[in-house]
Formats: sequence, structure tokens, C-alpha cells
Amino acid sequence: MDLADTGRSVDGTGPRRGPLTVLRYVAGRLLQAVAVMFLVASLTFVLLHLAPGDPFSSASESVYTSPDVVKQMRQNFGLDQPIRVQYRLYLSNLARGNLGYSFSQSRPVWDAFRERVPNTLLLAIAALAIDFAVGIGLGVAQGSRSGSRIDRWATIATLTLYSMPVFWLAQVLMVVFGEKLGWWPTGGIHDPVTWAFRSPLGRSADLLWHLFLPALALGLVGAAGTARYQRAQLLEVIQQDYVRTARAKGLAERVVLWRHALRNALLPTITLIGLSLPALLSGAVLVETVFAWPGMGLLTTDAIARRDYPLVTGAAVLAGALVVLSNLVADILAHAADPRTRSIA
Amino acid sequence: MTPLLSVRNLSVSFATPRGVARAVDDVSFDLLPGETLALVGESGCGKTVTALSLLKLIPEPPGRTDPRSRVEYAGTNVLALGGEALRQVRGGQIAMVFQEPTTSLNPVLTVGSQIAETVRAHRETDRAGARERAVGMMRLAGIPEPEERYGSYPHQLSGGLKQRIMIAIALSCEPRILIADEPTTALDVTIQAQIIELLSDLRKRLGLAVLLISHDLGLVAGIADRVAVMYAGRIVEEATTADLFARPRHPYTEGLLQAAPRVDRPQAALAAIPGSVPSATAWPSGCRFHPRCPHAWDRCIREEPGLLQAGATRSSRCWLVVEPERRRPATTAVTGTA
Repeated sequence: MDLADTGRSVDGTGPRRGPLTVLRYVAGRLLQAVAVMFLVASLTFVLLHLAPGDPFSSASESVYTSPDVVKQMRQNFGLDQPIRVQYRLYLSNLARGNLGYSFSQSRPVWDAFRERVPNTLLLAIAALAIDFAVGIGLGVAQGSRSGSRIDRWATIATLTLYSMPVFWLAQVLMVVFGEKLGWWPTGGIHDPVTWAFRSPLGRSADLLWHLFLPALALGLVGAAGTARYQRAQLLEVIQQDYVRTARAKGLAERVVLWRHALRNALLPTITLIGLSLPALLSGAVLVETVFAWPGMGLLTTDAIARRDYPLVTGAAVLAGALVVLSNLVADILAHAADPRTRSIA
Repeated sequence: MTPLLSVRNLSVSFATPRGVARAVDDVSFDLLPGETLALVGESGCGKTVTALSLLKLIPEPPGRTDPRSRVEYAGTNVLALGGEALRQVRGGQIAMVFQEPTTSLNPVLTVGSQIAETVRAHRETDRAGARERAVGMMRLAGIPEPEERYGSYPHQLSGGLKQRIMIAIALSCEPRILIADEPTTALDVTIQAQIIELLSDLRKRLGLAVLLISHDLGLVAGIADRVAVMYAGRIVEEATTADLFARPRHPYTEGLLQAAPRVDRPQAALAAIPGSVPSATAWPSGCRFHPRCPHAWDRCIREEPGLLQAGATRSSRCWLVVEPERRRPATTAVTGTA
């Protein structure tokens, strides 16, 4: 993602929006979302079928399974049909909200999702919070004293962090803080032994304790990017005429920074939150694998290896829907936060 | 009369990729109580930098104000102030109106709150009191329906109204000096006249001293008491408005006056000063105007004149003051015909 340009204009000279145009805008975006999900589903479907093997290829290689059984299984699930027919069948089921039956999980895809999606959302939201709390804080600290020693060191730190692959950072954190120091667990979502005996409060504490390292790994890389972006944004705003006006009026430097500069510098960041979700979701796949976090990522990587067509396609569609939705929400928030684009009823 | 504001040896330079630009070089002038002093000159002559540096509004770096510069106000050097003391002078004693009302107001705050926060920065008053004062200032600045406009955002107002808001902000804490940096340049001609009328009316009513930065000689002739002409980072001529327009003593001022369109004197074509403004990273030797001056002789190339006294109340940075016989008769400089 190009951090210098989010592709959003903030000069806001556009026309005023009434409530009706806002509704039309949201409806348009939802229609767009359907189109995106259709494309995602189709692309995933085709790519998966292009890959060698199918859900029963490993069974067919086994000496313990008779070829007749494998053939029967393929027939049961319609995998002997031409791909055209399978595609049509899948889409019509999808349109009716039926994600199909997972071969690897031996249960409906939706059931597997219902169990795993909350875990991934928890991880993603925690990472998002770290990303923007650390990123905005650091970016503002740097931007308000640019050129200082703090700024220079933070620049080096963020650039280093930004260049780190998520899976590598995750492993380093796991080795250092999990294995060597033993401050946090090295994997899993809760303690397998004590979980059953804990009170609800104790369970939450255990969950947060397990959440910390994966969320940190996922959030820090994003935070580095956010800090770079926020710093640049603040530096640009500080040069604006209205900041000079604020100083010329005799406002305290603190008021100039927090009330005049920061408000404007934070507006584009709101959009960035929505745009960062795709990166978080793909990063989650890696982090979940490293920390054995039972989320969508772990489920999906496992399903890909086992050519579990319905589950993989379903996961892709779900991720697509989440991304489109979060972009829409970020857009609406950004519009609402900026008086120049806020709708005037 | 004791000056209200006394600027001495103000020098401001900027670090640029092409070297140090000495944008303002050893500028000195006085502003008397209640008077309007105009600082005129072409773009890039240093007049805006002069105005901004009076309140330490030049970002440093890349800017740098020479430590020998002094801006005396009420017995203190404003340039030596910092923190709370500087904050109180800004907006409280010396206020500023800028060229571009559109970019000078914060787009995400209501215009009323931008006036009210100024009041609260200088006065002991609660929210309601500040609001009341802001509405009063809006009324004073000639904004119709000030109560309704209080909650407007800048983008909902016209350029003229925005400049009135800027004026309301500037005058909200009864400053003694108003610095107006090209306050009408960004506005339509009809609006310009209204804003100028408002400014001169408020000046008289509030007894303000005004430092008007402008390149518009017509405007300056109408409202200034005295004029200082800037060229290439220096003041080259200073005189009362009447004297300056009747008989300029610096060839650059002459050129400026000839280049200004006048409705009372029909002209076929406007005269232009030959050449262009030199770069601030490399001012010419001697008199900085000599490459463009129709009268220049060898002394002008070698030696820079000081601000030479050219009468009881005027001065000019030109060797012609001491060697008037060197003046050449008007030649190609004037192309206009009656």
C-alpha cells in the first residue's frame, strides 16, 4: 500500500450531500460489494480447481481406501460433474447463503466459520487498536518535533519495523518473550489445563494474556506504517495557513497543535483504518499459523492444503465482504468527521 | 511622537538549495500611534516576510532572523520574547489579517469558535462570554445575522465574509496594531472596496495603528498616511503618501507609479520596469536596483547608498539625492501617451 497517497481528496470542495444522496451512495457501494464478492468467489473457485488434486486425492492414494469408495464420495459431492456445472451450483448456493459442506471439517462451512471468525476478529481488532494507538501516538510525537533526536530515532525504528515480514516478527516475539523470557504463552488461545476451572473474569484475563503476542506482532508492523503516515500528515498540516493564523491569534502552542493541527491531520487517518483491514486479514493468516491461534487463517491454510473447495472459497468471500464493508464504514466516518463533506440535512 | 512599534535592522534569511536567500535585509521603520503605514513593493521583495517576522511567525528553520534585529513594542523587543509573553503580544497587542481568507481559517472548526477561542486566549471569560463577544465582533465586522453565522464552517461562507471573520478575529482582543498582509488581494473588486472601507472605518473607531502590506498603489494612495517602498529586501524610499505620489524620489518608485493603471489618466499602454526582480540568493552589487535603473552610473554599481534624507519627512536609497544632476531625461521608460 502506498502510504503517501490514500487516493482520497480532503480538500472537500464537492457538493453538499442531502440524506437521500447519502442513501443512494451507500446503496451504490453495497451493490459494488456484491460485485466484488461475486468476482472473489469466481476467482477463488477457478484458481482452486486449477490446482492439482481434489478433496479426495489423498484418500485415493491410500491403500486403506478402495477406489470404489473414493469414486462414490466424488459422486456424492458432485465432484465428477463438469466444472461448469459445479461452478453454477456453487454460485446458486452461495446466493442463497449456503456456503456448502466442508470436507476437511466434516461439517457445514458456516459452522466452522461461526467458531473461528470471532477469534480472528478479536485478533484483528486488537491488532488494529495497537496499530493506530501506537502509530498515531508515535507519528504525532514525531511530527510535532520533527528533526529532533526522538524523531530521528523513531524514524529508524519505524522503518526497520516496517521492513519486517509479519511472520518473522511473530517468530522473534515468540522466541524472545514466549520461550526465553516466558512472559507470555507461545501459542494457543487459552490455557488448556486451567481454562475449565476459571471464572469468567479469569477466562477473559487468560484470553488477553494469550492474545497479547499475536496482536502485537500483527499490530506493530502496521503501527510503523501508520506512524510514518501520521508524521507526514501532521508535518503537512503544520505548514498550512490556518496553523499560522492560530499562532498569530496568540493561542498556546498546545492548543495550536491539538485543536488546530491534529484535527485536520487525523482526518485522512480515519480512511486509512478501513484501508488497513485487508493487510491485517492477510497478516492474520501468518500470525495465526505461528501462534497456533484458532482463527480463520489457520482454518483456511489447513483447508487449502486439503483442497477443501467450499471452505476456501467461503473464506475468500467472507474476507472480501469484510474488506468492502470496512472500507464503506471508513468512508462514511471520514465524511462525517469532515464538516466540508458532512451531509447537510 | 513616540513610535508605537519600532523596527530596527530587521534581517531575515532562508536556507534554500541554491544558497542563503536574504529575503529581508536590514529593514528599519517606525509605526506611529493611530497611523497607517503602507509597505509596498513587487512580489518577492520581502514585504510579507517583514510582516510575518514582526510576530515571529516565520518558521525557523528554514528561516533565520538575524539576532541583531529588533522589534520594539512597549519597551520590549518582541523578537526576544517567547512562550507566554509572546503569546500575549500575538493577537492581544499586535494582530494580523492575512492574504488568503480561505486557507487562513481552520476548515474543521466553526468560524464563531475561531473568534471565541481568540477571546478566551486573551481574556478571563467563560464560554458564554467569549461567544457573546465573538458575535459582537462579527456584527462589528459587518457580518449579517451573526448569531446564525456563528456555527458556520468556513467553506459555507463567501471570500468576503471569510475575510470579515479574519478581521473579527484580529480585532477581538482590542489590539493596538493591526498588520494587514494584502487583505484584499484574493477578493473580487467590489468586495475589496467593502473590506477596505471596513478596515479604515474600524481603524478610526478603535484608534488602531495599521501596517498595510500591499502591491496595490491605488489602495495605498486611498488609505495610507505614510508609505515605505521595498525592493529586493530593502526599504528604498519612505515618505508621506502625498509626497510619494506627487514626487517620487527613487527611480524604482517612479517605475512603480508609471506601471500602475490609472482611471483618471487614460493611457494607451502601461509602462513596465525593464528587467526582473533579482534572486534573493544573489542580490546585485552596489545599489540593488542598478541593473534595472535608467539613471545608473558607475557609483551605483560599486557602492550601495544608505537611506538618504531627501527632505524633512522623507528618505530615498538613491545616489540621485546627492547627485541630482546625474538624472537622465525620461526616455523609453514611459511609453504611455495622453
